Amino acid sequence: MTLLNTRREVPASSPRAETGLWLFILLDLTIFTTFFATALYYRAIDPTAYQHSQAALSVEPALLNTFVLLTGSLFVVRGVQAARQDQFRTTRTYLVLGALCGCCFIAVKAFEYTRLIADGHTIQTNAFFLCYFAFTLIHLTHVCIGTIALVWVAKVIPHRNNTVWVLNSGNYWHMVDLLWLLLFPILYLV
Amino acid sequence: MNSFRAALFPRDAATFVWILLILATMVTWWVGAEHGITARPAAATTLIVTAAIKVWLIGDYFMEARTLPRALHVAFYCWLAVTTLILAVMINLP
Repeated sequence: MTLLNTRREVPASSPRAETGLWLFILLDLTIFTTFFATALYYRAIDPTAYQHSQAALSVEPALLNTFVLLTGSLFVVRGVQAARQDQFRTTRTYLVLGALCGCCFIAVKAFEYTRLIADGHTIQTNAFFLCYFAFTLIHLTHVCIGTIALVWVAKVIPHRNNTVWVLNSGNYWHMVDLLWLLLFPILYLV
Repeated sequence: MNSFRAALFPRDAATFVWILLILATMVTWWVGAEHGITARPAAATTLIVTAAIKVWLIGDYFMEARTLPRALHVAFYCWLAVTTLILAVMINLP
């Protein structure tokens, strides 16, 4: 259990993410819960149409994006750990790698949207694609914001040495990752 | 390259959790996409519960939710519990 003891790995004197950011995260998570419930509501109304539309999606790009976001999260965790040890240049490297994962996610998503639209599926096709495009586009906006936040903090951190900024941008990134972990099975698998 | 790999994957909680998350994702894909058994309520519920466990791992070990002030800590777990319950019920609606 020692391996999994977060408290031991985070000294009590270490900086923490700000309470205000956590309140924002909880609010955002709650809003996304209504999105997940909306998608499953349409699934309950017409499960056949939902699964038929779902079959038009390719699972592999979404799976790749899941690995990309999880790996980005690991980079961000290492960046936070380096910041806590005042190794801000190392932090910058990890945050840039995290941001590159964000760019990769955006590129894969763009490929996915292009293919779907070319096949004649749009936000107006039916309830499933309304949910798919609306919720993944809102999530993609979060990915863009998270990527920009990581780049900005990576740019200023060697000069400002502010660990809280690293924690805040990192926690926002983890929230984006966490939301995708719920969107992925709801839109692609169930 | 080896030193970078050693820095990225030391023997700590984050590495262990990342491996668990990758493995859970692969199992989810294998169950959901490869075998197409998610029309069965039990399998669909399993996918939702697996996703909830992954969210808990990210919250606890990447976002350090366990080290938050008690009110925020409780609020996060309440959100996770309520969301999982709502999704598990809705996925099994007739």
